[in-house]
Amino acid sequence: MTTPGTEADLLARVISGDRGAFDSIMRVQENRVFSVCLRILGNRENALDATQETFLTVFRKAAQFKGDSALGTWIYRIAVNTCYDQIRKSARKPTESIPDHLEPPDASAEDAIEAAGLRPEIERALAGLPPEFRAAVVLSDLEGMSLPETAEVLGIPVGTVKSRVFRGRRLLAERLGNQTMRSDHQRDTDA
Amino acid sequence: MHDHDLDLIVSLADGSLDDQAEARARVESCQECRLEYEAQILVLAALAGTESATLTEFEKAALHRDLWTELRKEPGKNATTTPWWYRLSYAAAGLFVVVGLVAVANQLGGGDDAGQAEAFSEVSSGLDEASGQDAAAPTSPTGGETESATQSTVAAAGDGAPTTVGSTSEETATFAALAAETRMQQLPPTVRTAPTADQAACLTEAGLEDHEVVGTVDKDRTYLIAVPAGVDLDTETPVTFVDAETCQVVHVED
Repeated sequence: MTTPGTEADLLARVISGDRGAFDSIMRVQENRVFSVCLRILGNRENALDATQETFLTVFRKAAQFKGDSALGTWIYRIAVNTCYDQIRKSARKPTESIPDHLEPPDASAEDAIEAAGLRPEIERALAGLPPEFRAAVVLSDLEGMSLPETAEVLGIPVGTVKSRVFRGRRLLAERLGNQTMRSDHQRDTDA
Repeated sequence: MHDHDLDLIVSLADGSLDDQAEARARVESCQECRLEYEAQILVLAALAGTESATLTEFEKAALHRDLWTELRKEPGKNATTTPWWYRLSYAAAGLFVVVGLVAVANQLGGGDDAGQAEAFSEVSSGLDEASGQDAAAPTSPTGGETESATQSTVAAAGDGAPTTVGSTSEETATFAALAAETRMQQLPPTVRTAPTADQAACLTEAGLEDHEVVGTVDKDRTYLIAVPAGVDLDTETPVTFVDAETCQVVHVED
């Protein structure tokens, strides 16, 4: 993690056109930005796109960083907003028509879920949460940010974060409970 | 359930409460609160131990490559703003030309003045150094030294050494910037696109058989960006630029 002094120096150099300074910032933050995007979007390819878009925005808006939060917090806020944009865009895309005959389940789809680094049932449950709840749970419970840090990244009051984390976990519990019951039922049926 | 209860349950589940007495009492006395608390604990347990996801080396290389490709297209101030040292190189090149012209004018106007001849000689050697030519080479008093700063001429050839073409300080600065950019992409050999047969032949013609093309750049002409074959790009990697048409090395950045 870079110190505030280093961060200010690096950003000043980025603003003056020093690409090496930008590269240093990127190398420090890229894995965590990618992790946040991956957990919110649930797909490595989309997460990679969002990570790239995040750093493009950081480069373009470096001069707008006022220093009233840590550089990392500012970058994660951009990352979360980029993910929200991507979710909105994909929601607007017209859904493809269902083919007449359904293909058999694709084993690679399961691999893709596991590629997100979470257990498949957790990944599925997380993907079913509304984006705002998902982001709060990802930052707080998966990325280990404190509630005030999460509030700063999301740009909302701590009380609202608590509410979103609470409701997000509750929905996750419901979904995980249902999935557990379904897999127990499946095991019983198979036996 | 009240917001206050919600706060207590979230904080109790997180373990972030200093004084847990009130929250524990609430959870024990209220059935709904207890169920909510258990649900929160269940989820936290399920998420516990999950490590942060990381980029693979391949993804990292792709991210850096695509990002720098995008940044190079940026019309905005940051990506294409000319850095101070780059602008300085323009100024230095301009200054050389002006001083050279003044020296030439002096030489033509009063060739018998020993002091002027000496000044001209100094300017000539300065220009020759800037253009990468041998300072001891004969110079013409008719403006040839000014041309030497703007024309490309073959400076070295033979003995299997790469053929290098002289370049102006402005071109040198441009190639230096491109070389730095190339190194910053830090592509491992595994993600590089295989060069075309023409490009490989061009490198061979330029005496760079042990190099490979990692990209091209279009300026007034097209140049091949070559690095030693099979190495990971880093800040120490020497980058060589080869004119794609003439297959001559135009710049070597060590």
